[in-house]
Amino acid sequence: MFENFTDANLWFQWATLLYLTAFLLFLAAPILRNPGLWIVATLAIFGAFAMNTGLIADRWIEGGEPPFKTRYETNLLYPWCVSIVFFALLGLYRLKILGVFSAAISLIFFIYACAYPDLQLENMPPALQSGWFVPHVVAYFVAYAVLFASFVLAILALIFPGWRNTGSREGYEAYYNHAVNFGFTTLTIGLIFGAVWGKVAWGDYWSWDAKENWALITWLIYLAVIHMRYMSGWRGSRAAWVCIAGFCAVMFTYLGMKVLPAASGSLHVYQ
Amino acid sequence: MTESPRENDPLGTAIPSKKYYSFKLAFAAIGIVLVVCLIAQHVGKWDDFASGRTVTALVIMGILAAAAVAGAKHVYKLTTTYHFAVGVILTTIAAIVLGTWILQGAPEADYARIYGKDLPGFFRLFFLHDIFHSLWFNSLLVMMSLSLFLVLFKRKFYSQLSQLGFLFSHLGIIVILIGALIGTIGGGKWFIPMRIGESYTKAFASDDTLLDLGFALKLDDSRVEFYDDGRKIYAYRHDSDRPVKVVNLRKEHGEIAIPGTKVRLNVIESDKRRELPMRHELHLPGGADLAVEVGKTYPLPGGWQATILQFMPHFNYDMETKSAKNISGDPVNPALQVRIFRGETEKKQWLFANMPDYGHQQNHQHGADGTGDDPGKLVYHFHPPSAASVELEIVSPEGTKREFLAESDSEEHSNPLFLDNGKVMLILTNEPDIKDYWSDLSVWENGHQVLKKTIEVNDPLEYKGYMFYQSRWEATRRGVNSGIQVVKDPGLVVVYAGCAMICIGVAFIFYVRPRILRNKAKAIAEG
Repeated sequence: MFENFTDANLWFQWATLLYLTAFLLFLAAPILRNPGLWIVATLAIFGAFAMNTGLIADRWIEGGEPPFKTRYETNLLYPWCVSIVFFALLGLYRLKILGVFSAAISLIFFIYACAYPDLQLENMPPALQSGWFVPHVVAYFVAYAVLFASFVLAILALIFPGWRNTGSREGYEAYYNHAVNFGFTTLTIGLIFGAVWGKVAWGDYWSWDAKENWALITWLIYLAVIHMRYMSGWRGSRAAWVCIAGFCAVMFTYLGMKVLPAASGSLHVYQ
Repeated sequence: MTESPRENDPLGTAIPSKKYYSFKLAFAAIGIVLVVCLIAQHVGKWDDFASGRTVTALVIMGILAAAAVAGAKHVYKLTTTYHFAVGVILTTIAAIVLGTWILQGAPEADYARIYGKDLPGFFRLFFLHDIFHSLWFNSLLVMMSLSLFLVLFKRKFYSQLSQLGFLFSHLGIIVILIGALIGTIGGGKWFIPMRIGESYTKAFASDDTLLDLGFALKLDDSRVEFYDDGRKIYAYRHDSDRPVKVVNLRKEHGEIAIPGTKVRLNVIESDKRRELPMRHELHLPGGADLAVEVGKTYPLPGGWQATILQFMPHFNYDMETKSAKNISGDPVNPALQVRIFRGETEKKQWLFANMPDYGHQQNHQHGADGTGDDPGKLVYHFHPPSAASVELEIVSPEGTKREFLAESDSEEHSNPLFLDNGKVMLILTNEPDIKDYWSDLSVWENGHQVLKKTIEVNDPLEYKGYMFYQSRWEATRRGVNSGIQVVKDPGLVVVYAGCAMICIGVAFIFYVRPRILRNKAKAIAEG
């Protein structure tokens, strides 16, 4: 893997190092109680995001196509989306605690990408040459990133149920609900974009394909989470656990398809 | 609808009695419906609606429906609770999960191979091998629709602007399911394998029934474009089943290291030819490949045998002398004459590398497994005596040497180069990826061309309610096969409307409704 890292381009190397730096700084900041460390950590993750942007842009220019089709390429896209979501939540709700988790998961994905890089720039097959490709993929990865935030906030709600934000007085439960709302909205958009694209490409908006099924499962889980808010006894820790289960379904949908018996026949599964 | 109605229901709606707020009750009701549908599907003979069994099954379902109507008030109160909604959602999730873990609609042999002897029977008992077309699964969709529909009236989603999101999102799902039902009943999917210059008035369904289009569809031309990547060397390690390095000969320069090994390559010359022995192979019924030589006899499936009589690299049939002759030494039309025999039965035939279907005559009444009067289809593959290759300088623990790596023409017929005591394998290929393929289609009615369009993936042709999609593309020795998928879906617009409603509804609930309620609360506080 070290060999892969040294063979990788500078964008990749710097993005990895900066995500690592950001993670360490975000981890140290609450322990050392140094306000300056939070700022430096945020700058580090912003730097990593900038390198990540450069990496995606460089690959896009080199290939002449959006670099979102292989697992490796999406391993680079996901941290980019996670970083954007972190900046948004930091700006809206001052949730700097998300920084350590955002940096951590981004680093994990970069390490995984380093371990399993694409051996070559894959060509875009005819089916993916559509105006729907980018909106569908981006909607989904933004949703995955927001739902990661909801996952982290749900865990924090379980660990710190009494915590309140100094400004708004909202707790982690309110924040993960906000994240679920946005994540569910973008999941819905991604799902519908995919259905419409499938109809345009193959004549089928739904074919009970393994990936489509798991996308629907994920959507239904969060639909259940939203309905449970209105049910007595299903708020608080129970809702948090369902939210955590929802994110597990998200990750399985994204990365776990290969273990399914029907996966080899699916057009969605990374080969 | 909740224990604290005012908190989450500021507009005030009728509140059902608390006994319906029960997961136990919800799952019990869902379970009863699923079991009745399961029994009905087993009892009914659904390809014959007039049969007694089907009538019995319909009666069983009718009894369930009648019971629901008789207890309409209870059904209404139960199906409009959050518990029932979540119960249906969770059951649907479980069903779909099963549908992804259990093979769906696969041949029986696959179930036995993957799941053993006992489990397939269990799957068939509960229709787990075809969940998404089963009655019990579709009853979940019906229950979901019923719940969504009834809750519209329960919560009066149509009564206030702030409820518009709930109206759209709930109604949107129903609209999608209605659109899907319309498409299923009134539409269909067919396929036309088209050849250039040929017209088709019929399309094939998966059950081999034919659709009469009512007009002719002609394939005027078909083209493909490949990515121009050039040749590549794929390097494999003995401990990995996927390549560890791909060398693009156009892009890589200098010394190339193979990851995880002590082997390094330098490309000396990337455009050479290497002399290889000519090879003949027969692809047998059943899938095996057999390397053959002229003058030798080989066993075939079903007790048949084949003797290879002669080879002609440039076969030609002389119409005057009514005989076959070889007109040059170039492999323009490679042909192999074989004598196939079993007991008293024998025949001679020519097999052509460029026309794999020609050798299989009309003797196919017993299929292609060699058990009838026909040995089945034999396909002849010809491998020429030279191949494009790359000259490499290889540095390995064995020392430094120069080697040729000849191009492989397919995965089955490869010319690998083994290095470092077999720990590294190199394969050279020149199989460019398809960039795009197009078909020029024209529609003809009463001898006149009424429409012409070039279609490609993501850009179908539409005519008289039918959509024609570029589904497949294949170049064979006999020409281009352009696979066109034909789809009719009268419910599509309805489905799209439902999709739009859901998107609008969901966004409205989370981002517009809170604003409306805040403004309302502010107005109340001020006023």
